Amino acid sequence: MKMIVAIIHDHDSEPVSHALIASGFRATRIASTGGFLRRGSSTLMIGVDDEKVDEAIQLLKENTTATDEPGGRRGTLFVLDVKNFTQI
Amino acid sequence: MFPTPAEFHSAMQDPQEKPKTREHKLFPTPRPSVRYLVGVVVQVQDVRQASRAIEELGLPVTQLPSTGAFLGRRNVTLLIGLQEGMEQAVYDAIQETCHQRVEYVSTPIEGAPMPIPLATPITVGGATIFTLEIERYEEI
Repeated sequence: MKMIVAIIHDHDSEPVSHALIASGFRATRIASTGGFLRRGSSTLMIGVDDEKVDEAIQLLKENTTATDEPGGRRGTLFVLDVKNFTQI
Repeated sequence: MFPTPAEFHSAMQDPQEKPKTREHKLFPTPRPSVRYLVGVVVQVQDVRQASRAIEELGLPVTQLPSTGAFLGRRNVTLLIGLQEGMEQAVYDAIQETCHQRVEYVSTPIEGAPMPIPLATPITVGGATIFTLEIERYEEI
């Protein structure tokens, strides 16, 4: 199990969450600010099975839009290892 | 011959003079690979200084509003991606900008016939830092 922490633009969060849900990923969205965007951003926490990490990252890449900011960065992704994952 | 006013004016001006705008440091791209994700829980009062200090190190900071569990005070969780070797600089920046404070919370005296509030001093912590190892880091 892995957790993907994805920091993306606010306006991308809607299509991204829809795409994730449609593909069976569960995501938690946290409103956040600052960072390289200096405006509203969304932080998504996505719990993913090991072999599905690539699929989730692909979805994030497909559903974020390019911007005019330096470097044209659309988001930042951190993939963390999860020792224990329980759903109750 | 005397110079015309326009010639005089242009001669007086220093051609080397640069426009007086503040230079903004952009985050260098591409950046070296990020190894750690640092979550820092900071008091609201310290957020500005703390994120500025970290941004001065060239690291982008993401702020999440959060709430403390014990006192229910509002605080902010900062997310920072760290390269190898930057840990100590970030910890120092946080240490310099986040302070412990003593706050007073009113608690009723136990066993008293009437609820008499008593001001109880509580030390509200400087900052809590979690450093997590990243398996994979991507900028898209």
